[in-house]
This record gives sequence, structure tokens and C-alpha cells, in this order.
Amino acid sequence: MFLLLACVEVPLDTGAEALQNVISGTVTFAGSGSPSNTFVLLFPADDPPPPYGTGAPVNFTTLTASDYTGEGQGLQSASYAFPAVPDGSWVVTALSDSDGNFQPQLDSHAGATCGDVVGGHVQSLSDTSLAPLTVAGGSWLQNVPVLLASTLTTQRPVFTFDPVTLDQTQIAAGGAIPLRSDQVWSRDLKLAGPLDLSNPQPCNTFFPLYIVDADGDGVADPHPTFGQYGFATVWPHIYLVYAGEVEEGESWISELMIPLEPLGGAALPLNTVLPFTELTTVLFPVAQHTLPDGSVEVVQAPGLPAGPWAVSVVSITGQTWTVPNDSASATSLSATWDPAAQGAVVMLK
Amino acid sequence: MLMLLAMLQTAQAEPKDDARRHFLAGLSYAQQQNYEEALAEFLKAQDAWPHPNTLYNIAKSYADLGNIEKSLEYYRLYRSAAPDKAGDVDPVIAVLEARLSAQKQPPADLERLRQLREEEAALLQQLREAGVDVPLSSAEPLPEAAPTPEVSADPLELPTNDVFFSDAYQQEVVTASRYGQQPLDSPSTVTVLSTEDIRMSGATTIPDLLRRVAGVEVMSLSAGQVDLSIRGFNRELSNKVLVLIDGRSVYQDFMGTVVWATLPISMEEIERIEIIRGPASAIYGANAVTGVINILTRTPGEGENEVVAKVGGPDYASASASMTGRNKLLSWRIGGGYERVERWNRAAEISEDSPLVPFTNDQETAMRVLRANGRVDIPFLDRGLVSVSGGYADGFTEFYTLGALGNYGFDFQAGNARLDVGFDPVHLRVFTNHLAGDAGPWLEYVGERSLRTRLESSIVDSELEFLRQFSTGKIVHHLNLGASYRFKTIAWDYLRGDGEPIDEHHFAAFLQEDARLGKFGLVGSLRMDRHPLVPITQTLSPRGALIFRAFPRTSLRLSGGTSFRSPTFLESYLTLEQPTAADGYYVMTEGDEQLLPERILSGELGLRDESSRFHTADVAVFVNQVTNLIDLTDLTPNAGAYDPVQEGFRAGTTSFSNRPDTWTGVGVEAELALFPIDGLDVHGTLNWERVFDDDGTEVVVDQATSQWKVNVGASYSSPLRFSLAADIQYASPQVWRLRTFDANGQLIIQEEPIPERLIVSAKVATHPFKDDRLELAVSGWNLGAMGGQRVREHPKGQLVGGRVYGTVGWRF
Repeated sequence: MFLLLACVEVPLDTGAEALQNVISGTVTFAGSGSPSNTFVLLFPADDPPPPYGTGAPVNFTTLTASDYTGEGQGLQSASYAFPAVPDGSWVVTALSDSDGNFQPQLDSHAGATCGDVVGGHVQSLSDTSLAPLTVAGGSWLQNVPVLLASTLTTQRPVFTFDPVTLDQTQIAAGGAIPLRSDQVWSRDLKLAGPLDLSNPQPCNTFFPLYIVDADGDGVADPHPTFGQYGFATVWPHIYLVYAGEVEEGESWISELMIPLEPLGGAALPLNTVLPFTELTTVLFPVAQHTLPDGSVEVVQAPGLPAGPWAVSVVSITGQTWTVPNDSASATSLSATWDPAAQGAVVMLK
Repeated sequence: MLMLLAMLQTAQAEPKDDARRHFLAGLSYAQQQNYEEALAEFLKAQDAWPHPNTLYNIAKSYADLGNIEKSLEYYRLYRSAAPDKAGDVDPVIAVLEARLSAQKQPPADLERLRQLREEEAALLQQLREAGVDVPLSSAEPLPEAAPTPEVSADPLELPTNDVFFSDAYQQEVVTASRYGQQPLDSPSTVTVLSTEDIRMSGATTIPDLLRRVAGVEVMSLSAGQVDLSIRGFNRELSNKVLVLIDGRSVYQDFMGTVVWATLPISMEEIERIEIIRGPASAIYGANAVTGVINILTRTPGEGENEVVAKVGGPDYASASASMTGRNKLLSWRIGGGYERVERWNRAAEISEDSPLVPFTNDQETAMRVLRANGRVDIPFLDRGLVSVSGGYADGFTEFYTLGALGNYGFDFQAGNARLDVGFDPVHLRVFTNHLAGDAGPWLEYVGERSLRTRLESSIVDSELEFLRQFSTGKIVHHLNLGASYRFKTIAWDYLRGDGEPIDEHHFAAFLQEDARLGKFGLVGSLRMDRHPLVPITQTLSPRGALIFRAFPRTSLRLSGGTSFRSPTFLESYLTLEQPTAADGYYVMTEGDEQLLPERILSGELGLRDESSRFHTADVAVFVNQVTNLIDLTDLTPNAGAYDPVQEGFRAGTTSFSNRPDTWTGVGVEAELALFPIDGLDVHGTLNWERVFDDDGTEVVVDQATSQWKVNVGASYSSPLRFSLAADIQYASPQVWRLRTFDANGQLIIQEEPIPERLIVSAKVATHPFKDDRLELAVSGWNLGAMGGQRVREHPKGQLVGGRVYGTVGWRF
């Protein structure tokens, strides 16, 4: 009897959280050359990363270049895993950091830069939109492939603007906020402390303007919200985000419009990346307010919170830049870069 | 010699409750000169649990009843059982032999009988001249005719001033004062778990056995790791209780805990376990903060050889053998065993394509160990004893680590060697402990930086002690003086120096005076430890106790003292990149060489009562004030660039520091043991405690200690050669506050509740043969879990399972 007892299988502990709800798989590098240190990032599917949204990663894991095995393009791969993923729907992205300047703790360096190879867990080779993954009840999602195939040829949309104070009772007709993208990049700054994240291979910086004509009718698609005012759907998407104190889970965000007339209007080619170094944006006196409980309301001026608002630019490549950012406290290494300009805000009264 | 044995901290055969009860009854009858009843009780005592002093009392009873033949028989047995007492008993035997010989002379040999009488008289005269107090002979005049041999009803007058031994089954403890004393005289609260307690329990580990002791908090994180504390402050890798084997510390200095699996002894080799509650740095130095557990193994040459095998489920197997012997030159004991314990749970299914890299492919074994140990005692020159002992354990265990780190696997080799040289009143003890092995997280994810590590830890400890008992007037003194030196060397790549050995030299001196005057006892102890990183003012450990024997078998004790826990190597020298919930972030965790030791100031009032032969009881009320608790600091954000070696970004730095606040713990502990009838023992404990911070508000963090603990148990040994035992242990709910790191590498504190729990264990055994040498038993531990009622005893731990196993034991 005791010998029989001794043969009982050890039960699985379904409460061992660290080993439940796992997403794991293989990152395959299909870029040119060799993979670099790679960062695999996890986002909620309903708050995806740019260009699909404005989400920030809730977790990330790292793979060193030496973790990759195999030779030849598309044959180099490395395994990754996300343990203890909460129940829900998730998307996975990744970047191979060719220039070694990715730093998730610094918003000025927490994104893919020119030369990095980016990708994610996508629908298919032909449909490169992110495929959501559902995790629930202790499930293990194994063999989730992540493809790194797109080498970025543009820099992050670094920009400056002059600090501006707007009386929200007077912006009913829209306030203009000009943004400038200069021939500068973070190679020109050195952050305080032991970090030296200067960029060894800068790319030219510009706003990649992309006018969307999804239906191919030769006419720019109207903006889904402000199309009635003559605005088209264009990249980059530019947002005004309240930077004052909010409760956890709460946010205020307003999208800035790009009038195309000053840039060439109807003569501009559609579905084509156009480099611009200056954009003028238009602010509508309305913002989306996400409450701590997750509900959303639309609030019009003068009901917007007074105080500082940040400006974020999301490029069609998924690259982003936000002012103000932590490079405002950096030390400038060149005359063309004014770190203080990275501390500018839009002040709503 | 007895004193030397006490210094070696070994023990005589364990008292058995029934034997003690019959023995005390026999004494009572003897005092009333009712020798027939006394003899009956002494015989029952001897039958329940053999003891040389009981043999003596039986012999004396027969003598008092005038039965020379039986008296002689038992005196001879006594002489064999206690050869060191030969000098006392040989004259008695000689006289009895002469008497018996005379009684058996044929009638025609009256002349020869007279001759024998003359020889006897000459012998008695010689004894008197030798200083032996011999009463005048009461031998009756020789008859004219030869007497008919018969058993005399008159007490015999024997050539000694002997009285009945009164201490055959008197429990003796050696841990509280470093010499043998009755628990009634102990300056600390003491509990003794006997061989019988061990045999009758269903526990397979020492800590599980200790669950029944008041004030002891035990939690099983896995089947291979159990952590325990005394009077609160339990945690994973518990660090405030000093554990000794025969007085040798098995505290692992590198991490500040006891790795139970590395102990080289089996449960069957334990003579008894003494648990001292309260601070004991005054006599044992560092780390005896809230108590001492002294595991006393069997004395070489005593007891029987034994082979025991156990097998059961879930997948538990052990086997042990011990042999002992004695000759004119030496006594010896060797033992060995093997044990394998299955894990309570598996955390995950491991397959070839799973993203997990296990520490071992064997995902079912929680602990596996092969053990061996031995000891040889060589007496010399009447007052001297040389003892050489050693042990080795080779195995594997799973254990849970601190903070955000999870469970680890540990492939280890542990060895120790020890030399004791005692020459009354001086005792030199030298021992070395060595532990080496490879450790690492139980499971690591692919692509994750591995935390596997190699450890080698060695200590050499030497101590010279002077122990003397003397009297000044009516005051009886026990004086202990001593000095010790300990060398520690640790090579571990989690520490500074990247695996290069770090050495420490420790020195100590101690003094204890125990003075007894009538009903009063006064104990004063002081110890100074020289720690290489700590000012000596922080290690000064005084202790004082007043013991009042209000009645012959009832004592009150009032004691107070301080203790300290020295910072471990881990706390002083750690440099570890600790992973966080986000694999890409790590937190730099560093030791601090400026740490002060944790300190405790404790006061206790206790009452012990053994006034009847049917019970023992102990109640203690204590207050502890704890300062300088060592804890990890909050995270200091300190972003770093990507480190390809660590495969991540540094999120910040944390270090060990002394908490600035003071915690005050109060508690009540009660123990009661009853021995109402032959074969039946009933025991119970009750425990209540709380901890407050220096504002007087309750400290949430030590709700990790159950406020209430209740243990009730009973065992019954039937004359029909079977026995039953059962224990129920209850612990009230707990709340743990655990440090962990979130996905952004930020430190967060999570409150995790642990529900109340009940552990039920039982054993049924039979000795099918009359000689009791064979034992067949079925034991169960945590039987509620066998029915599916599993709980965690720590938020990170596994769901604690139950175990049922069969035992076959053979003594020879």
C-alpha cells in the first residue's frame, strides 16, 4: 500500500502565480546583418504602442545578441518568455537595438531609433498589424513568434516648440502651436549621471508627413473627428496630453490637427512619406478625459484642466517624441541643441 | 566524568513518563517503609524504561525485604549497567555473596559457616578502615543446629550508608546553563522532546516535530525546507534561532539560517531535543536571539543497534541504521541513512519546448540526502575523556530565498569533524563545519540571465571552557569560564570579490556563575564577542536569573538578558543584480559592512511545576524589545545603461540597513503534560503573542507570526503491544508583507494573508514479538491535507501536503 502511495504523481500547484499565464516563443531576426541586443515589449491590446495607440509597455524582456542561434537571414532566433502575465489581451512588439541607445527608463531614449530593426507578433507576413494574445486562467501561450523585419530609416520625430500659454476660453477657433524638427539628435546631449547614451549613427530628423488615402480615390481621407472642419487623416499624429497631477488611470488628451494648406495643400502626394522640418498644428478646445475607472468622456473648454500640457508626436513608423522630456536636464554637446527647449509646455489657463 | 559528559552535552537514557511515575511512587512507598509496594513500583518502572538507578532501588528493596538472592541479582545487574559505580556497590555484593553462601552451607559445615562469618567480619573491618561507612553487623548468632535456608523477612544491614536513588528518571537539561541540571533549576524556559516523543510522532523532520513546542513557529515552504522561529520573527531563511547538534552550531553563517537537509543525522539517532526559549547569547554568543535548539544524539555505548526503514506517500522513503558498542577502552557509535522526500507541488509542466530551464531535470524531488556520522569516546585517567566525531551529508534540497527571489535548488556536500578533550574541570572543543555546493533558481526562463552560483563555506571553531562545581558554606556554585575563537571563510560569487574567499575572525570570552542557596538560585552570565565588523559594545550579552524553589518540585524563575544576531556574510558583503518582475530590469542589491547586529532585550517570568508524579506544567510570560532589525532599504533609483553581462537595465539600488524603530513583543506560553495511567501521555500547549512598534501601535509586519497557537496530543502504549499517538496543532491566520519589484523595477510591498491552519498527525504501531525488538507502524502527518485541505504556510511556499508512511524498525 505504501509503495503505491509512493507512486502518486506530484500535483501541479495552480496557485504558483509566477509560472502561470506565460507568453513565450521565439524572436526571429529577419533584418540585414546580425541581430543586436533585443528588447521584447508587452502592451495591453487595448492600449497598444504607437502607431496603433499611445500605450506604454507593462513589461519587457531582453535578449542579448549572443542569445541568438542560427545563421543566415531569417534563420537567427532566440527564445523569450513573459511570466505572470495578468489575465487579458496583449500584444507583443520588439526591437533590435543596433545603435545601443535604447533605455526604457529615460523617455528621451525609450524608443526605436534609426537603424533599429523593429517588429512584433503580427497577424501574418502580409498583414503586419499586431495580433492580440489572450491569456487567462493560468494558460501558457507557447511558441508565440515575434518577427523582427523592419529596419527603421528615420529618426525619432524629435522637435521643439516655443512655450505657449493659452487661455482656453479664447481657443474656440483653434490655437496654433508651431513645431520644429531640427537637424539635431540625442548624440548632441549627454544626460547627467553615468549614462552616456549618445547616438553613434544619427539620421536626419524630420517629421515624416503621410497623407492617408486608404480607399485609393485620390482624395485624402477626412479626419474621423475633425474632418468636417477640413482636416485630413495624416501622419504624424500629434497629441496634447495633460502633464499636471492626475489620479492613477486618469488622463486628458487632445489631438492637434495639421492643416495641409501651408504645406502645399492638394498638391501634396498621397500615401507617400514627405519630409517636413516644421509643422503648424491647430488645437481644438476639446479633450478626451479617461477617468480612473476607465470610462471616457469628452470635455470641452473651458472645462479642461488648467496647467501644463505636453506635446507628443507619433510617427507612422511608431516612433514617438514628447516635449517636455528628461533630456531637458541634459548637458548639450553641440551648439545646435538646446536642452532647455525640451522642457517646453503648453500652459492652459 | 559525569561533568565531562555534561560538557559534551550528551545525555543519559531518556526518562519515560510511566517509569518516572512508578519510580516516584516507589520512592514514596519506600519512605513509608512499605518495601513490598515500593518494590512493585520500582519493578514496573524498570519494566517501562530500564535505568541503572532503578535496578539499584530494586536491589535495595529486596535487601530491605530480606531476599538476599534477588537483592544480589539486582545489585549485580546494577554493577553491569553502571560500571563506574563498581567501587560503591562491590562491597555490598561481597557481603551479600558471603551471606548467601552462608545460608546455603550444608548443615554439617557449621565450622565453615563460622569461618565465613569471620571472613565477613574481617572484610567489614577493612571497609571501615578504608573509610566506608559500614554499620555494625546485625548477623544473628550461628545456631547450634544448621539453619534451614530461607528468605528472611528482615531488612539486611549492608556495608554502605546507601539510600534509595531519587533521581532515576529526573529529566536533565544541559543547554540552558551548559551543564546538567533539572528543568526546575533552569534559568530559561526549556522544553524537552524525548526519544519517545520522536518515535510516537508522525513527523519526518525535526522542525515538524518542534511544531508541538510552545512558542515555536514552524512553516514549511517546500517539503525540503522548513523554517522556524521562537517567539515570533519567522521568515524564509529564518535567522534568529541557534541550532546545535550536541552543542555544535549548525547555523550557516553565510546566510544566517539552518539548512536542515545538510544535517548528517537521522531522526532515529536523536536522544532528545532541548528547546530553550529566550535570549541565550550570554552563553552561546551570536545568533541565539530568541532561542536555542540543541539536538542531542545518542551517547556512544548506550542503547541498542537499530535499523529503520520508512516508505510512503507522496513518495517518501528513508532508511537509517545505527550501531553502538563499548569495550574497556572506548565506546562508539556510527550511523547512516538515506532519505528522499517528494515536493509538495510542481510549479509547472516542464517539456522540451517549454520556456523554462530547470535547475534539475528531477522536478519531483524536494530533498534527497545520504548521511553518515560517527563518534568515539575514549575515557582516560578517571577524569578525562577524548571524543572524536564527524559527519557527512551529500544531497540535494529545494529552498526558498529572500525577497523577490524564488525557490532555489541546492546540490550540496556538508561535512563536519569534531574533537573534544575533557579533563575535569577543563574542556577543549574544536570543530569544523564545511558546506559546498551549487545553487540556482529552481526554474529560469529562456533568455533570462542565470543566477546559478557556487558556494563554499568553512568554519573552524574552538572553545576552551572551565567548569567547576564547588561550595562556599551553604552555597553551591557552578562556575563556567571560557574563551572561543571562530574562523569563517566563504567563497561565493554573490558576494564582493566575485567568488574570492572572504575571511572573518571572531573571538569571545564568557563567564557564568550559578549559585544555589537552599530554595534560591541566582545565575549571572556575561559574554563578549569580538566581531570583525561590529563594535564590541554591540555584542556584550549579559543574562541574569533568579530561581526560587517555592516547593520541592515547583520553581519560579525571573530572568532577563540580551542577545544579538550578527550581520551575515550576505548582509555584509552581498553584491547581486537581483531580477525584477520585468526581466529587462535588475536591481543592484548590496551588503553593508557598517551594519549593527540585531539586538533583543528580554524579560521573562516563569513557573514550572512537577509537584505530582502525574504531570509537569510550565507557564511563561515574556516581553521582548527588538532593535536594529536588519532589513532591505527602499529602492534608490539609479538608472544605468544596458549591461550586456546582466542582460538588462539597472533600475536602482537597494541595500541592507538597520531599522530605526523598536519593536516590543509580549506573549504567554503554557505547556502541560499529564501521565494519568500506565501507557497514557497527554500533552498540550497554548501560545499567545503580539508585537507592537515604539508608538505602541501594532506592527503589521509581524502579523507573520500567528497570534494564537494551540497544540494538543496524546499517546497510549497498550500492554497488548500496540501504541497509538495523535497530535493536533492549530495556528491562527497571518499576514505577510513581502517585498517585490514591479514591472518598472520599482519596489513594492505586497500584503499576503495566510489562513489559519490545522495539522493533524497520528501513528499506530505494534511490536508483534514479546521482546519488542520489531516495530511495525503506520504514521500520518498533516492528514487533513491528504483529503485535499492544503494551505500555504508562506505566501511564496508550496501548498503543504500530507504524508502517510509505513515503518519497519528492528532493534538488536
